[in-house]
Amino acid sequence: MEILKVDNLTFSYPNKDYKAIKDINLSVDEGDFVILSGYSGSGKTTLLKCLKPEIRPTGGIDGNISYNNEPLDDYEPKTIAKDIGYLFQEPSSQIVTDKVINELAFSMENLGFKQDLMERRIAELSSYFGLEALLDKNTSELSGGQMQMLNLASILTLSPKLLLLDEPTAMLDPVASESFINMVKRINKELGITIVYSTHEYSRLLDIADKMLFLKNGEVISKGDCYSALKCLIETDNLDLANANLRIWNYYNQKGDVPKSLLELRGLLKEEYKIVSKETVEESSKTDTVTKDSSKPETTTKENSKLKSVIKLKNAYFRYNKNSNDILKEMTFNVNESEVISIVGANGSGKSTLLGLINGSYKAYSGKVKILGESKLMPQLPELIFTKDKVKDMLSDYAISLAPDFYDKYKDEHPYDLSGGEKGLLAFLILVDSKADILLLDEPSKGMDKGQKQLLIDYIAAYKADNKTVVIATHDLNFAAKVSDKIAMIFDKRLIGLTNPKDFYKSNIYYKTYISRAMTDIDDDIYLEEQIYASK
Amino acid sequence: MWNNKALHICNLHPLTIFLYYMLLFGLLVFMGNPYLYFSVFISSFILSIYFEGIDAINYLKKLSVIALLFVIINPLFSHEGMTIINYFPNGNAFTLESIYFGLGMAVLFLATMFMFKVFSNSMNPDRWVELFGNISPDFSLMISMIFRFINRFKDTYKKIKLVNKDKSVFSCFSMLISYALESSIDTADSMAARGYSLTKRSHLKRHKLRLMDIAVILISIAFLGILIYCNKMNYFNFYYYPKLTLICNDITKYLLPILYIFYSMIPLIYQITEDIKWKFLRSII
Repeated sequence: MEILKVDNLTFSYPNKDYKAIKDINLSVDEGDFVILSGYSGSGKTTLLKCLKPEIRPTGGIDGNISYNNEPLDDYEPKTIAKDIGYLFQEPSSQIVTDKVINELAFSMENLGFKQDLMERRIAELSSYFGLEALLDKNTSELSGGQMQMLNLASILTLSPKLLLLDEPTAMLDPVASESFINMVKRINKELGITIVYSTHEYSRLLDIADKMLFLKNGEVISKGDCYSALKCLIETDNLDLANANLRIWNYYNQKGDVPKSLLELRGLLKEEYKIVSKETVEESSKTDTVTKDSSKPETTTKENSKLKSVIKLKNAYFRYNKNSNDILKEMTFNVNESEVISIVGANGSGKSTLLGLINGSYKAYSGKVKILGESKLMPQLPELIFTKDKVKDMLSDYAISLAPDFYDKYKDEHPYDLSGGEKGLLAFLILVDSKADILLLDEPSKGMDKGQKQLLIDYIAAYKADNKTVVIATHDLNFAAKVSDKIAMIFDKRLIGLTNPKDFYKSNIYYKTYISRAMTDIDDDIYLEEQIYASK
Repeated sequence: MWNNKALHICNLHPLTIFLYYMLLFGLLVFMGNPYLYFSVFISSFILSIYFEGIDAINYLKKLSVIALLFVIINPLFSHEGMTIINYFPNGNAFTLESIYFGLGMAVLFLATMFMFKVFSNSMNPDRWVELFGNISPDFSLMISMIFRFINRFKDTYKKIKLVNKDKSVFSCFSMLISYALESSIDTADSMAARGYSLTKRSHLKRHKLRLMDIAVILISIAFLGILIYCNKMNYFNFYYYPKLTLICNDITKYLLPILYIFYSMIPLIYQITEDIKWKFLRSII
């Protein structure tokens, strides 16, 4: 049965001459799992908000939306509030009350549920979501992942028929987003709730999704069941939106089926690399080794040639309070001038604390921390360094010369009106403007799509060329691989294995980029998609 | 011995706790009676030891300094009273009654401080929300949101301060304000999306009024009734000046002090009986 039908939906914001979304057609059956993807700022959020009358932005709307075969706007607001759930991107700002249990009750209280029913629902959902232990906690004590779980649970208390999720995992770390996605899958499978899920990173959802919809500049560029929609991306030349599997498959002339899993991708690569390596062994084995050898000493000489180290830590120990445990210990490493290093590691392993230590916000209680030059820290929430109401007021010549396109596009915007990824870029540019010698970035790639990540990588490279140092704490292994000269991991409060990305991913087994996992036993030196394309 | 324990009165309904302490506070203010001062002080102090351990004693030490000032300062300014001990150089009398009065105020001060310590410990934010939820669900939501915002913006301010180490307090604060305003738009959207303001709100009650609650409330009401009656008939009054006097007729001579002491000791009695009950129950396990 068709639960949602959208016909020729067009929407434009007031005072904007372009249309935010144009002629969208969409049909969702009961129990469907629909992925909504597309470039950042392509109108995904606008489309979702149009489907939820209470939070529909003001502006001109055209076209029909019907819910259960009747116009959506004809329904009573109470029915809509109950039947259609909406989850926002930012986990903490959508929480209303102070205690977890109050938050769970909030939706039901709004609709005047009876005491018995509320108690039952809370009991059911907190055991379904595993929230029992958290019920009496303050909502501000929760981690981002727990907050987003709580938000989802709170919406489910009303037993909605349709869930609209607006990039719910963009602000979460990989472990939290994995468990969130699993929960959404469970809800879809076990409760039969229809789901429209907007996201950049849909690879983990492909096994359950029934339909996909890709947006670009407010228009649908491809839709249908997952793999036909993905293939359609190739035809419309929007490969940036595709996942690695599809791009690699396309690169190898679309042989066979699209690889659906890591294993299938590995199979494809294995075959291709056999062919390639045979050819290269026969023809140009010598030149290959020569080029490899020549590239290596170049980097090593660079390191040896009197680059001064700007960050020196020697046996540094840190803890927050007298009575708490050590957060960091035996921290010993150097970072040279004009070097980009990334620090990866699990949640709460102390990555942010290490950045704070380098920034001088925290003091090591034992050991030496020596920092040459000025340092600036970019927080996980980019909003925290926005001081002015206009983008152009916060950037001066130096940052503008680095990112003229970005500046031209957004100079008149309010920084809070930018999308998550754009805010991150802006925050980076503000820091760049201060011309600090050392930039410390805490999860800079959060919420960015592929194009924005590439922009950030370019900006960082340009900044580094000015003899500046950048230290990045990130969960995004792919981003770390692309941007950094060296990668290290924090484990058990220590820094482990500070080496170049190639050796780092080569020696790891689990902490690897997607590509390096696929290339295991084929070519361990390869850890990025671009290297596959370049190696031919 | 100094292990911190939970207060058992926390098991009572917030409404009960609120009514009880408000009445006790009213008595402290309006009934200038040293029996009451002493018993409230002792009861609250022992309860503070329950949940704070050694800290309660340290707190008492600090407060005692201020309390001592009451005793010293009052005779310097108040020269009423019949029992003159000595004369100050400027000829004013130094009276025994003024010392008594100072002592009374000192104990009142200690009693009030400790009483509010116990009160605030047994009324956490959650219980305030619950308390007002019984009166108005909207008001209780407001309280709950305020507690949420306070926590949230305290955390955010700390983060802002950490990142903008070279900026002034003022500009950090202005950043906090713009962040707060912008994120409240999201909060408002989230409330609208979850059906806020569509119908009359209900309220999730987390505590039920139990027998003990009803008993305490009834005792409070009865006690208040007796007091008002005795006060009206002028049965029981206490004067410091001109001479320390207790005006009371025969019936109330012993009854009222006992009532005062009993009433102010209710939380302590409850604490001890619950402890004993728990020990007994545990011995069965």
